[in-house]
Amino acid sequence: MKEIAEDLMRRCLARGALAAEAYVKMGERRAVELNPDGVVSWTRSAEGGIGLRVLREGGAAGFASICGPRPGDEALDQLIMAAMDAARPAVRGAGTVFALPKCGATRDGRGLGIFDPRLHAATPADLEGLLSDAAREALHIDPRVRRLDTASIVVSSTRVMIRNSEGFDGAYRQTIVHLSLGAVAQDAGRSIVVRQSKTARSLSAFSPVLFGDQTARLALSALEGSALQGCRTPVLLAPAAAAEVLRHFSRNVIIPAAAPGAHVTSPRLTIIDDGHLPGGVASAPFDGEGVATQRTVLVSRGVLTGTIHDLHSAARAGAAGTASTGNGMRMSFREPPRRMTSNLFIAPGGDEPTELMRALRDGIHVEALRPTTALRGDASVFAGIVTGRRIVSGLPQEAVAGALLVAPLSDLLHGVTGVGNDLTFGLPGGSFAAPSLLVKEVEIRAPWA
Amino acid sequence: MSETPNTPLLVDTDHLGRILAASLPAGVRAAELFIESRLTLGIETRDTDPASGFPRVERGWETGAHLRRFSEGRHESFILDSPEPGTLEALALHPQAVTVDWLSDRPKLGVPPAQTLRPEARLDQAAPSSEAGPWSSPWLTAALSALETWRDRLRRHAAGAGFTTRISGSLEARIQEILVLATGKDPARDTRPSLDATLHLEIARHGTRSEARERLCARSLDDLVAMTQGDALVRLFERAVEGLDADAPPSGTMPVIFASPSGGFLLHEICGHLLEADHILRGDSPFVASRGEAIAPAILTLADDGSMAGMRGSLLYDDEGVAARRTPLILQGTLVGFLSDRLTSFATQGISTGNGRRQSYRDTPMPRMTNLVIEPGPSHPDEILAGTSSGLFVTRLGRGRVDPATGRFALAVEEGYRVVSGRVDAPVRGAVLRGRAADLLLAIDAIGNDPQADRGAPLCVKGDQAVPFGIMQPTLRVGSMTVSGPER
Repeated sequence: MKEIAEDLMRRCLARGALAAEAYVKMGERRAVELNPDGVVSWTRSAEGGIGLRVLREGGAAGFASICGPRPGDEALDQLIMAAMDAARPAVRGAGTVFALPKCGATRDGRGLGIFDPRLHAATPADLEGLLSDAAREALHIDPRVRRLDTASIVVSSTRVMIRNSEGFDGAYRQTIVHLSLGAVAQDAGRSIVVRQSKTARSLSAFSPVLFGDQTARLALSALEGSALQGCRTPVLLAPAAAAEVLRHFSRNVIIPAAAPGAHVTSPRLTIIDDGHLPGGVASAPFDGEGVATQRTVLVSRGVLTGTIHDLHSAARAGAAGTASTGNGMRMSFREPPRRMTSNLFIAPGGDEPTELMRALRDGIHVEALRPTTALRGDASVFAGIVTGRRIVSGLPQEAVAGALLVAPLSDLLHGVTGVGNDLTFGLPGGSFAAPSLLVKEVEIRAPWA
Repeated sequence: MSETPNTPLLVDTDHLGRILAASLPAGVRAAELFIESRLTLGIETRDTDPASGFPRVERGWETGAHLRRFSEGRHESFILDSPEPGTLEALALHPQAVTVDWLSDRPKLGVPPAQTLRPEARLDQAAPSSEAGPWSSPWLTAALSALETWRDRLRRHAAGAGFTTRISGSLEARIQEILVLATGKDPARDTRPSLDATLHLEIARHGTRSEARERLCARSLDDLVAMTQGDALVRLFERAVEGLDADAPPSGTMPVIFASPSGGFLLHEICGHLLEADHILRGDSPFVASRGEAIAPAILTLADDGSMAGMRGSLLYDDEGVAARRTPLILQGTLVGFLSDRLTSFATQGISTGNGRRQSYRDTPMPRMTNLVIEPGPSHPDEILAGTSSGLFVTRLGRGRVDPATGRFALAVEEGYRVVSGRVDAPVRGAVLRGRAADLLLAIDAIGNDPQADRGAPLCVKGDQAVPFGIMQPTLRVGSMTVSGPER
């Protein structure tokens, strides 16, 4: 691929591009799914391609992509023409001019814990075995968990390469595994489905058996859970639930509404983006435009201290010293880099979750929050369906389920009065993580009434 | 300007079909090869990001193949991006033997050495032509010009009324070609051009702000431009202005009128998804045991129809090569059918209803709606309104959620008006409709004679896949429905 990328750079410059960048991502994806009717579906995909970005006069950028391992000469020619043509002049006045990184790659991902040779070499039988372990455990816990609505495991092994006309040349390999279970718990004519997923970089980072156990127990909680009447109550968010709130908050991180120095959360919260986190699901040695990844503190003890940048947004910010934080992320070769969070997490506090439960006294321990649509026109309100337990005098009581937790995001984050020491990665989606959070009061209501 | 697709899938279908049928290993009862070529163009311009200055333009071209083999208790899928000459044949013959080595510096697909390759059995390796379609320079110029014209017209209109504006516009063009070869079936080809545009307008005056959004879909750029020639942009501005001084919504149980075609999205959610055969077979729908029963008044006849000309969800063939057709779902109030693909067709007497749809060759088909069609009723929409003493008149629905197992739903009204003494009265904002699918269907008490196709760009989302679908709906009145204020 190096030769193709070099050829692309030469041809782009010869056609008048000021700079060009080729992003190549290729690899294999294997998936096994156990269907509810007992049928096993097995999928193997070979996927990959090239994304080409060109910069022209005045900072205009154009992007085009093409899939496949070895595009023909004519196809490459058309790719260049499409990208060059897409780099149109600014609509009004001058646009933002930015430069691609010049230095060569100094890091290739080794030591970062993002490539697992065992995962790379896993056979379909291996994957089927792992999935069966998780499924068997989920169905073993209690006879009321009678079947699985979904059960799948997906493993990707890919190689990423970036080469640009300024001399940057970097590559790394990565693996990722994604396990999903949907447990159906049934009793007395009532049926509840609880779906959970876990994402990791290596086989050693998670236990399918434990995951099956946790999913089934959550389904049982949801089945046993009594409905909650509408109320305002303090809550203790378990790590998975708190991570869902953080995921919602991540939109505010990208383009913060407040200025640096503003108090945007409770002083107990410190929020960090770290693209170089060992074993992180979103970790890489460099981002989707070749900038070295880093750790960026976004909120320190409740105060907005910074934001994330890609090359374009850093140049647009215009302030002296503003540089990309390595957050020009790409989901695939099909799209240009976008300013996005990498591994976003809330720093752990010093409290044991049991201490936080005692501090809660009377309220709800929210074990899981399934995000749902807030029926308002903006993203400032968080809404999620609760599965958890009522807490009385600091002790867990009966299960509660199905209620809607709905709150303005700022109220939720300003209302945090305690932070646990149980920061947990891998749930949900893998790149958002949080410890237990004690929130002084939120609104709980019936979701359909 | 020609918008003819220019990446023909040059495949010798007879030859490849014979290989597919002859190469079934023991125990495999059927095989299907789905081949796709897709050209895409995405454009985005926004005032909210003025320092950027540039339209964001992205182009993509991809081809791929997805082979499925069905055995008793086991299905196998093999997916390849951009198969090279001969690889399709090898894939059909010995999918397990096609090795992938894309992680090295010289990526390659290994093809079994005994293969006799025929040059016809391949995808065309030629690149998309620059002369036509969304990859062409004139097409992009015309699309950017259209977006700028719309924004300028909106800006002028708002400035004339003393408002400042922020306007974002986007346009997504796709030309998708598919070819499906399945054992025991004739080859099926389909070409699906589509164009979606979104305009988002935010207006402000004296410290108050309001916003409105318009989504449009068309089969060509010329059609899209024609759709904005009338009052569509003025109406967008007016909707934003109405939002400035809209009343709080009424609250309680009341009649709700869905102007044509505004209620189609709700009916898609509760009749489309809940009548999909996979939900039915899993017992994940309130209509599992309702076939043959009256689930709505006799005035309601509702079907899925992928064969209607010119509709957003219309197809020649679905993504399993089954010819698109009309599938009655509710006939004069009685539930008569479900939507199936090949795998779930035993819920529909063993025959797929032609609703096997997938987002791309990388995905597995699932039963999905194509076009939701509600037959017109006897009433003029003015009569329906005049016969409603008070209630809510809905012209646009917003976000919502549905619980498939119970059919319960909650849906925001993006644009609605009070009904007072049989007339449309003041606009209201923030109303939420709540209820159960089964109750809503039974409460429909009037259907207009004014069916209209939805000119927006509705998307059916299921799992991680989104596919376009169409709506043809006359005015509907639900006699009794729960309406509440905004959720917060």
